[in-house]
Amino acid sequence: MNNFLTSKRVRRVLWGALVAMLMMALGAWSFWPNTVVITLHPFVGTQPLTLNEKVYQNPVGVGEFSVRDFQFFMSNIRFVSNDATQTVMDSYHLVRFDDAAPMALVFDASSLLGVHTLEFGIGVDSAANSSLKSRGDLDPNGRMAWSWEVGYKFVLLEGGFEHQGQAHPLVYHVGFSENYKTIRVPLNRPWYQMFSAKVDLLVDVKALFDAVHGVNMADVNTIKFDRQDARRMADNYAHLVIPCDNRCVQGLK
Amino acid sequence: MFRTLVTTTSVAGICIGLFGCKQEPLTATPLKDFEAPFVFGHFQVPADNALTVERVALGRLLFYDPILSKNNQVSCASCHQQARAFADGKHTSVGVSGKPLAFNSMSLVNLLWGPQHFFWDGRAKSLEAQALVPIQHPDEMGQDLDILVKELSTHAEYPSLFAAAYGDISPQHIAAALASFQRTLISANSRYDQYLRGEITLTDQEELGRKLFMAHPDAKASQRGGNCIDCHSQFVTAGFSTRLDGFSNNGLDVEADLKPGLAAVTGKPEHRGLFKVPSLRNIAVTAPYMHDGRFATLAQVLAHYNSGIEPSTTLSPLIVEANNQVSDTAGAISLNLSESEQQAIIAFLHTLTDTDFLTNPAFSDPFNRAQDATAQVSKDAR
Ligand code: HEC
Ligand code: HEC
Repeated sequence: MNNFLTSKRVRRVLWGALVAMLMMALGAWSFWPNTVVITLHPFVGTQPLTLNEKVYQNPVGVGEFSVRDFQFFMSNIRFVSNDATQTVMDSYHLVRFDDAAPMALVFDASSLLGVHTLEFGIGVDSAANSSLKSRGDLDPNGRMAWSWEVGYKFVLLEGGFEHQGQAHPLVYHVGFSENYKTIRVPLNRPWYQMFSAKVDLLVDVKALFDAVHGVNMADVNTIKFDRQDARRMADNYAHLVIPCDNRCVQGLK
Repeated sequence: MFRTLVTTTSVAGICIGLFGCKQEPLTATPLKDFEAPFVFGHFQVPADNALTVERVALGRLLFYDPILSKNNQVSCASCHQQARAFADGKHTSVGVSGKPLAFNSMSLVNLLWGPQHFFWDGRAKSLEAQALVPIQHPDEMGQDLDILVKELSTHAEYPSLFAAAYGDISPQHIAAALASFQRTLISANSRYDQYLRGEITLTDQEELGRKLFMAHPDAKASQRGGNCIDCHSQFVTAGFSTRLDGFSNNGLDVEADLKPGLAAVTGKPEHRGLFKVPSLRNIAVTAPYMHDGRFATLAQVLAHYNSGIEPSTTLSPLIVEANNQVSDTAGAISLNLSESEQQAIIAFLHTLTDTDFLTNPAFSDPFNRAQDATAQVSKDAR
């Protein structure tokens, strides 16, 4: 017995097993970090969004358009379970797609047990929208600030529209507290992601123009302070962000 | 409305055996009375160049000292004069070679806010990186950095000042000191600031101008505006600090004449003709205007924005689209502001003049003791 345990070969095997177990534990640990990563994948209908270069079909009319800038605020991120809601502090995130790296938001979560829904707003809630305090990505001297009397732009899309050789600018600046929209998406996770979640969301620019109301850029190439127009586009952007479907499957690996 | 921003980081004298010991600064007095309006928002000072009294004082001396130039005749202040909000009043600047530069001098104000890329085309990524450019530029100061370090090392006063501020004399420490001084150039007591703090009211004309400045026009919603805020932020009045959002093409040139601008830095065709959106603080004293000094007066600037826009592929869509009239002749780009509305915007721009800033003794020429003394006297008399 004694002989057996002290035999060099057996000791080596035992050590090996110990190291392997340690590595497995470490591997499991790195598999379950306490973080939530939300990655946003931008599309225009079925095509990936490429700023400046690419030309897309007007979703609800004649002509073609390109996008020079597209940004929006995603705010008040919440993780909802049956008996609790975790709210991220100062959660105002400017989402934009002009970086080579994918647009990802990373959060620490205290516990994700039982969390089944991710909730967030498009825009800025009225309390923050009427404040000059810089928090999160809110910046009263930023590009999304309108002026302190009006608050923030919630969704900004600027670009160009062309039809039969005629070019027009596209300027959609939609804000106003009444146009703050809340979106909920299910947080389905494989069983082994107990402590972490990787959420892939699809942002469809086309939805701005056709989700609920048709907004034809051939007629309405700009929306700013007209409350009626702003409300129509806001009803549409309530559907701007959805769980990834097969469109972004390629981008998911 | 004001809060004091105390820089807490003191200068750490770290000495790691493996990497050799860095000379430590002898003294490090954190800058205490450093304050800015909270409406300017967040700012960042590089961790390795925390603001200290010693660094700012050294930077001020260097800024005003012609020793930085090859012929010992040109200082930073030759082209950045306090009374002109640190611009120089020239069409384009002239330095040691006497050959006019390609660009109009830039006002140095509130540099902690707004785009954190410096120069008209954004080619310097920090104030530290910026400072070594004019020193070596053959037409600006034409100085060799090694020679400059030697000159400063044999100077009667600089060695001890550098020792106190940074430990030793090096091109990096010269740049860091200049950057520190420039970060303290804060203008926050114009009539506009006093209005924001609720201390005064603006005249009717200034107030109309303020409203027009702060609004993008929407003829459909009967909202009149000059759309300035589309690019010049509401409080800082400079371009936006996020990424390259503070660069724009404001319609100075037609396609064929577009200069590279930001594209010289990024190489992207969509950045051709984009320039840094400058701060408009003290704009009434920084004429002539634009990167090439093409406009002599604010009236000319307003005439440009109202009806002088040149079309090009990279022109801001916000400028193309901004119009105070519902319908216009196809293709014409015009704000269609009335004469009195343009005058009102000019009146508002004048509320951005901050005489405290233009005469603040802390920013003045430290070698000009007479001027320093009178400034001190006039301050005491107040
Ligand atoms: C010969 C005139 C001249 C001298 C001397 C000079 N500058 Fe300038 N400065 C300019 C001009 C012109 C520009 C704009 C140049 C450009 O964009 O290429 C400028 C730009 C700057 C900027 C950029 C500001 C911004 O908002 O982006 C800073 C900072 C600056 N100078 C600091 C300095 C310092 C520090 C020194 C001394 C070491 C100095 N300058 C010496 C003419 C000068
Ligand atoms: C589309 C963005 C944009 C809009 C809108 C805009 N500006 Fe500018 N402004 C700029 C840029 C960019 C520059 C620098 C351009 C250059 O020199 O190439 C500038 C320069 C200026 C200057 C000269 C500053 C200097 O130091 O030389 C003044 C004055 C000015 N703008 C005032 C205004 C006013 C007033 C309005 C509203 C009527 C306005 N701007 C609207 C982008 C804009």
